[in-house]
Amino acid sequence: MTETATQAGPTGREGSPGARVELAGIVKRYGDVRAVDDVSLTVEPGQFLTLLGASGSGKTTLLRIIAGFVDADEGRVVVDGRDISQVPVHRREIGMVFQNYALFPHLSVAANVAFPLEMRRVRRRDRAALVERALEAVQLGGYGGRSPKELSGGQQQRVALARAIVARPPLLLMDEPLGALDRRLREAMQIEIRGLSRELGLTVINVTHDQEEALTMSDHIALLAGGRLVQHGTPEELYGLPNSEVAARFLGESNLFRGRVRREGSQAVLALPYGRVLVPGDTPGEREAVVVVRPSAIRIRPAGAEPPAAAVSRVPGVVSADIYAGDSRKVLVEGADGAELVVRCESGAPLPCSVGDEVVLEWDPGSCHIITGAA
Amino acid sequence: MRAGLGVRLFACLVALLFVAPTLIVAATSVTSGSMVTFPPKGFSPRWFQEVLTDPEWLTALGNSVQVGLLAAVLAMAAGTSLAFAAARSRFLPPALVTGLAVLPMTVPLVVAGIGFYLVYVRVGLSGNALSLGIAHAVLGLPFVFVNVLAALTGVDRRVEEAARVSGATETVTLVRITLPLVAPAALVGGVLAFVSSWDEVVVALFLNTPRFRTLPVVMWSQVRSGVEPSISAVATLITLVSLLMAALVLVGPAVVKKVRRRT
Amino acid sequence: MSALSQIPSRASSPGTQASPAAASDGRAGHGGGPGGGRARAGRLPRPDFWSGAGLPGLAFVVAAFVVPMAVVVVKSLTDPSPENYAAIFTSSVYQRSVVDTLEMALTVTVLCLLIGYPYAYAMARSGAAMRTFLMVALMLAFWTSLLVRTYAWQIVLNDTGIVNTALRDWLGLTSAPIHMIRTPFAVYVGMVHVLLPYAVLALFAQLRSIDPDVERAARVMGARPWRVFARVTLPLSLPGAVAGGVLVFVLALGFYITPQLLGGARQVYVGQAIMQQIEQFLKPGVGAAMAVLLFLAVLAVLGLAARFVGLGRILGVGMGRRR
Repeated sequence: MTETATQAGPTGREGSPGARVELAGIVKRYGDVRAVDDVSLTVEPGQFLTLLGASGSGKTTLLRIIAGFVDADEGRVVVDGRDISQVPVHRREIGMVFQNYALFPHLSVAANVAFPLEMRRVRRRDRAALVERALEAVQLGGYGGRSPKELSGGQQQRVALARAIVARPPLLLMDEPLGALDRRLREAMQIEIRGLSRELGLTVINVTHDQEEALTMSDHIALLAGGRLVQHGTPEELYGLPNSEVAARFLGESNLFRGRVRREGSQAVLALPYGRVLVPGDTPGEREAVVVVRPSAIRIRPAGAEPPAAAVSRVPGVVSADIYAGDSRKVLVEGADGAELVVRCESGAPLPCSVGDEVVLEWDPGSCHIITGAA
Repeated sequence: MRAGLGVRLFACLVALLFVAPTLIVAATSVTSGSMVTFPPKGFSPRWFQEVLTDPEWLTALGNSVQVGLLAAVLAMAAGTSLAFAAARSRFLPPALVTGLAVLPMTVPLVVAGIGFYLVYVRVGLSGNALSLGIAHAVLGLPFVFVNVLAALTGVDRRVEEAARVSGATETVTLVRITLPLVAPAALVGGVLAFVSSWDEVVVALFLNTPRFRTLPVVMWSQVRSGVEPSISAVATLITLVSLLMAALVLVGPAVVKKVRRRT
Repeated sequence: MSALSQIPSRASSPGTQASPAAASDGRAGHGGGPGGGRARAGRLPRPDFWSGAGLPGLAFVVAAFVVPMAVVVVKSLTDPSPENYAAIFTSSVYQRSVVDTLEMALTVTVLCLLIGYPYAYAMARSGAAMRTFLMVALMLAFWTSLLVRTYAWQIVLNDTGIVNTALRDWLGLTSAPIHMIRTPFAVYVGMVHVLLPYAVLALFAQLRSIDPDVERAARVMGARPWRVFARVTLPLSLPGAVAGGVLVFVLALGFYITPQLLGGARQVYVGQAIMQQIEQFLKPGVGAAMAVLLFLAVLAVLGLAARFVGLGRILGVGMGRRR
């Protein structure tokens, strides 16, 4: 797993076995509901893209449109320059992993993994070696003779993965592949799947509602809500620079401040009735904006403490809860307007306050992110 | 709340009445005498020997087996096909398909018999295993349909989708994935169809000819002229086959499961 | 034998219940369906594979069953004319047959429920050994051929049969045989014996489904056992009684073999009357008309009962076995 066949971006395209997938204006309606609403995005060869969203966001429908199980009402699915919208499922040459494994219960592990080879008319004598190699890649070498029923959930999902990659499809689709596994196994499998897909250079489109999984595994994340594509970018971009309230709320914890931004001297400021939020960067004129502050960027200080010399944002509040979470602690603070603010501190450091205390929350202007033009 | 002693005694009495007639028939079939008597006079397999060497009974036995197997196979094919349509079709209304598949269960045999008789005789289908086999397949089809339909609801659609993504056409998916998964249910239905054909009299009476008669039809014609130890022997044979088949279906799956778990 | 309970509802795909979106995916998995007006104008829905898979079965049922049934209807109207029906409704012979049949079917139904209820109750409310014994006895009868069992009653009830032999030779109670065969009595005995398992199975299924805690709760609240039965158990078991009763009644309406072998010449039940028209009187048109009316009556009773207990429950009882 050391050799990385491909990086995202044009430099890595050379020699990548992965497919380039282009979705253009995909629309799917069920009655009056637009399950997928005009989604366009491109997945570069070898890229690991996660379709992230809550249930009902259209992510699964979108994946099933790519697989060919659902026909889009509008738009095209283009793979390596070829419009495959009219190509039936079995000729799309994709691998797919399902949440509930979807192994063929009446076939052995080896027969499960051999199935795609058989369908692609790989010669019988070549199959065994390919099957064993795929099983070894998912660390199940020698399990071929077993029945799927004899395997644990994690092992079954590995078999499903082996079946999906054995024929080396240029595109691997995963529908909540880890949803049925417990947390520890899930984390181990995340790393494993990521390593395997890098090694093979596959283009992967993964569906999940788990933001942590999305952040851990993906080269790119496409965030969907209500059938629409909200934001598409790297995990860093989505987390650090959310382009909307929806994005800011969905990925990680966040504190949102809404109001009018205007200049006060050299500093742009979002004025609240009870405090000031300094906004980084140049802001010409007045406008509506939402400022996003991640909980880990906030410091808690007792109410009477001296304000530091540097320019910081300051918001007063009352501590309403102190939740210990192992490596960190989560402090909930009720703001002056009644809104709940979240602060994350290191659990090792002593907290300068306890529940019920009046405190001031401070953060550096550079650590917040502004969403402009937000409604 | 446990049933009272009186209720349980009554139930035991009824239970004895349930099995007594069958046992009496079996007892009268092993008599060494030439009359149906109870208790039987002595013990002898002579009536079984007589029946199993009599060409008329043997021909009838062969006919019954042929008809039953044909009925089972046809019912399995048609019932499974209908279950697919009822469970999966987007175009055919499931109520219509289900109604058609279950309707044969509601029709009185006399009514069904007339229908088969009127049509099959006209199209030249009479006096052979094919005509009665088809008729019995219709009557046995609901058993297959219901069993396969229940099995199909237990088949995960994603398993079929996994096959499709793996490169299998819909037909290959049906043959390689879906059919094997519902085959046990279809087989159970098929056995039930066989049993219901095996001892069916009314429709068989409509479609019989002097040259083509099944076991129950021959038995019927003899019974009407009185009771005989040879008829008892045939009755016992018919019953044994029915019970064996029923046991196969009712107890068989549970036994298989238990054995599998142990290994 | 309860698989039939699934019948009324369309089989759903269990894999597609994760989310509303996924559920709707399932709906549109194949075929595509006619999209909205703006969608790919003029694109036809793809041929539905599963309809194709159902085609052989449909063709078989239509050709081998629906057509014969339709021919029966046509025959009843054209051989020689719809007068066939008038003949049935005006002839006192036929009316007598209908009345006799209804009386017989009702009596058999009532007897089956009266005998079947304690049996089912004992099965549902006893230890494993008792339940197994009762179930095995029931199944032995259930799976023994109708013809064989009717024949058995012939042996038992004959003038020289077991009952008369016992009464005369062993007990010395009678000098002349009591005439039982070829009477309504013999028919009732045979019919009840043949149909009782259906009533028991329906009642048993219902009694098993009653939560024992409901009865215990009534006991705890101070109800005496018979009151618990009358106020809790009996009302809760009524759907099973309806299902079993309707099934027995409907089956009894069309019976032929048992009345023909055990019954006398004086009572000609509808099943026999139909046979007579065809075999003896060579009037298939009248026989067909009677068959049509019989089938309609069966469907009407089933349809009416289905409103209360569901068709699946009624037909599910007889699953695997038909008479």
